[in-house]
Amino acid sequence: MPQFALLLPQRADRYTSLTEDEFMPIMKDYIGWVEDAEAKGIFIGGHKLKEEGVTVRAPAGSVEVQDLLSTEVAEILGGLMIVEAPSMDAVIELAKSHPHLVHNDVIEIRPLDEDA
Amino acid sequence: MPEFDASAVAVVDRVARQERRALIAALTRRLGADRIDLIDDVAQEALLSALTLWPYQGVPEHPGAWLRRVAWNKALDILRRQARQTDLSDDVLESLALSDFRRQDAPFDDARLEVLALCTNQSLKPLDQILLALRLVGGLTNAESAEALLMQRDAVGQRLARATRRLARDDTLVVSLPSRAVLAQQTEQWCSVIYLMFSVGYLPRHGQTALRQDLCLEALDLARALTAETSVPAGTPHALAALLSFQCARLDARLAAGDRPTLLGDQDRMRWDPQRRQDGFRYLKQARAASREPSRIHLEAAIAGCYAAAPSYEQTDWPAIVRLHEVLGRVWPNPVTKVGHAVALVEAGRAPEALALLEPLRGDRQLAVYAPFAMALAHAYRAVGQEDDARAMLTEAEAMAVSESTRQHIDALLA
Repeated sequence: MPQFALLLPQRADRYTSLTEDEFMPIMKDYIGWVEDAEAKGIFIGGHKLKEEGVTVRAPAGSVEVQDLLSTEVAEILGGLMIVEAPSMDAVIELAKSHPHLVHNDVIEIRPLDEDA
Repeated sequence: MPEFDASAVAVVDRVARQERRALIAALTRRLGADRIDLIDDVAQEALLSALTLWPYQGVPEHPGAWLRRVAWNKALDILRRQARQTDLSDDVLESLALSDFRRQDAPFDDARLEVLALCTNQSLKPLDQILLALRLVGGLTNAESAEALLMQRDAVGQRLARATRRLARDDTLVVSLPSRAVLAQQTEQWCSVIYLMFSVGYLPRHGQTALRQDLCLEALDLARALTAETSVPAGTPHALAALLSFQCARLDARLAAGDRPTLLGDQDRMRWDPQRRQDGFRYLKQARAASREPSRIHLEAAIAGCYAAAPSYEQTDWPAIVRLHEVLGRVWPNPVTKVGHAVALVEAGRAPEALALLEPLRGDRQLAVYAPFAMALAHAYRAVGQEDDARAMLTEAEAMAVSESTRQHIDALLA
């Protein structure tokens, strides 16, 4: 069965100023969705990314390392999930029920490139 | 529009609550009760880590082990930092890390009871005791406690922070666990805090049904655990286990209509849990055998036993309930229990006595907002044929009623 990555971008400061009581119900929605997907046997795995990091660039011969937090990025990748589905249409349907669309805006769906 | 599987979210809530309980009990046993503020902090942080990571990884197969590992590592980090500032040596840390979960001097077999004993420290105000018990023993978040006790969330947080700090840092207080000698005196106090925990779940208030049911069952489980401890004197714990067994036997029937409790007379008795009912009678027998003087909880358990033994509301042994209430009124004079007494009197065909009991209480401040009081009075008026007075009281009761089901019940009586 084909596998797809759900890339979950978020505003860089999305969770920084939330209190615990605001944060918890959001995370519970995500956990509920993942639990549901696991129960259906279509959840392969996922990774949360820390809200920090660096970019490494090599403009014209030199190498620049820049702290992600010091640059004014509007959006960062919050994490990714891998799911299994028969087709892109099926993943789109699946993504429509994803709480990321409620608590954030966009989900990018990318098929894993494997031997067909 | 996205739809979430609400049951999966409820599972997360329950896991979080149960794991917080288990985590705090395990850490308290390992690190000692005097580190309760550290324990509460790392338990909280571990749960927060879980809530951050599980959305992407799913709930691990053994969530308890996962949380214990994370909380333990956080606790060790903090202790190591403290060790550098104080005289806590690496050896001490090593021994903490390696020590068995059950210390030699632990007064209880069940670690949750050690935490309960901590919560009922006599230097704490009663409200702080119940707040601590709800959080550390019940596993509730501050928001859940606030909702259950009709308090502001911030106020709950502040009181808890003060209470844990007080327990952990004020060395003028005796914060170590009680010796076996003082267990007897404290047993009554533990029983009343467990009873309060139960009441928070049982009374018709706002709040999620699942949470309230969970709290009731945890209170029953704690009462049962208390009866199993060889170091705790028998008697009141057995009476409490009996009372809560009877009440929990009716939990499904009571909550059959969702978050609105169904009143005893309207409950489907086929839905009462036969095992818990049977447990209730067994504990009641043990409670009677162990105590010479019946306590308030003994009497309440015996009354609950009369209700549980009846094949229908009409066939309840009202004269027996009246007799038990007469004793209860002497042991624990409380206006609220007089309501149950009066209802039993009316049902036993002694309505004029019920009126004589209730009418002097009409000015009582506590009862002025207690719908069951006005309903009992109306019931008594109706039984003696004072229909106008009965209707007036029912109208008053309707204004006081907390729950929709009570209002519907009153509407039916007024029709």
